[in-house]
Amino acid sequence: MERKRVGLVSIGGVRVHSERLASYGVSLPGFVERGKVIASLPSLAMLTLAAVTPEDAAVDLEYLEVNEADAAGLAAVDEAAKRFDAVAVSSYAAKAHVGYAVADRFRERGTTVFLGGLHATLVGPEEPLAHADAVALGEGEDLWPRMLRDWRGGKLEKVYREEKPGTYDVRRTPAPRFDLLDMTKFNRITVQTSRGCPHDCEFCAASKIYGPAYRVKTVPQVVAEIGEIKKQWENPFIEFADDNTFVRRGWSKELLQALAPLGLQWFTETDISIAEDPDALRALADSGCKQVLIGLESVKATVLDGIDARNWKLKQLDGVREKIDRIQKTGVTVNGTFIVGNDADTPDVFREVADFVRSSNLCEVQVTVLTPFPGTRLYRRLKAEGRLLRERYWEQCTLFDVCFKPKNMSVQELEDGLIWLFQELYNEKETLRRKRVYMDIVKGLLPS
Amino acid sequence: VSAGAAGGGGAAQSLAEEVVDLIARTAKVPRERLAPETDLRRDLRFDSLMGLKVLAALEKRYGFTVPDEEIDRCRTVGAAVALVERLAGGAARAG
Repeated sequence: MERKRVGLVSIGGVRVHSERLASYGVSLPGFVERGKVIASLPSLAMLTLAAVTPEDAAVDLEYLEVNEADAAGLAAVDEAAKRFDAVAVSSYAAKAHVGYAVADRFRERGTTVFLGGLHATLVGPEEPLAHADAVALGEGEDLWPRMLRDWRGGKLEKVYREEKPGTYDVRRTPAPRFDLLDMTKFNRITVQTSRGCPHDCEFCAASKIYGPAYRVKTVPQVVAEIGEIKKQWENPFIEFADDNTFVRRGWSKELLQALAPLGLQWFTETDISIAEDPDALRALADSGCKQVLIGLESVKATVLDGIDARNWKLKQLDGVREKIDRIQKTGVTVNGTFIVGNDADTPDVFREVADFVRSSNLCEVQVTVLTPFPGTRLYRRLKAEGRLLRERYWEQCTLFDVCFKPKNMSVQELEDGLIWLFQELYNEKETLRRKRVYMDIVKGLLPS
Repeated sequence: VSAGAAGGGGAAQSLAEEVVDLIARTAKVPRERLAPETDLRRDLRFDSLMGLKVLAALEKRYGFTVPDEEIDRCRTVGAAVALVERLAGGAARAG
């Protein structure tokens, strides 16, 4: 069979849509740092598709990143279209419009387009199909080989769906094709150890797409993936692309022990229950973990009441400062994340979050606005209540743009409050204060 | 790190070598990769926390406190050496 060339096109680089927010918020130093990290992460989805590409499809693969459908981005697409027979394109909700523009351009140039990913799965199939020859709805490991084989056999279908969403056994997934990356271009490389989260918060899109079952890879599997990265980067910084890494405590400790001798620095997202386990905290620090991102969501019980199915986050509110301290005393920083614009939030929420952050020892903080991603329970509720500002607003799903009518304040108050909070938390003085907190923790841990 | 680059004489050279050793140990990077012009972020791929960890190690070793407004200014190995020379001064040379 004649070999074909397939591009794996990642649409990245989330950008705030609102000009007001962009001009105020993103110029603040503490805000910019984390934004840069996120914007420079490679697409693990595309590298995973590469890994499950069957040999009998007879294709050669290339990884490509396009962040904007501007003149430069489309020129890159035109150039790429000369060498690709087909492309797979995936994007987040906020960049769906870019993904579609890129897909349209490839098709105009005669390149077959496959669309998939989180957003396509949540809204599909009609919307993405307007820009693609075929769409994949669900996790790609089983769908991608079927699409490729059908395409090569001249019998490509329009829609490929998982038969039982959220049940793919991640222990079967091969190591992503990290060899397709030039790792000198990235500050962090992503590795996934698990999919899903048991908390099923109303706003969470990941819980929706991955279903209720929490699935983990085997520890040797994770170590083998890191081994592939270390072939190019001896002491890499790994960002675990998990929604909640330490749900299964026995497995977590096994993982941490296995990571310890690898010489890594790493970051992940977890919940605050890790603070309850001194052994796990010790292992966390010993394994090279630098930061855990924890969704604290709110400092108010009225907001947390009902945010997840079992009110788990509400139950964690008591003693939360002490739990943060317990984690950070090991030298692992906590990036505490908060959501504003919840139904129980009043215009006081901005001051409340600012006061909490200043009075806690949090070394890092992230504030986002409540965002109704399509397909989530939050989206369905706000739509039923007639509170979505527009029918289609995906480009505003940046986590910083307001897409809905808040319950206890106006849209303007929410936008103004967010800008005020950014200025309070991400100004130079406050950012340096948090850095000093971390330096003092480190000094306390160093031998005299 | 050469004495000239570190900006001092014989005693300063010894201090510079010590600072470079400390950076290498703290960040777990081979000492031979550290030159005065080595950029901690660009060349060594330090993230912000590693830069702070190095500063904290220098503070602890030499007993000074970096003013908050200078925390983000230490971007190269040479700048770290110069910082220690300035803030630790004679105490570091004697020590």
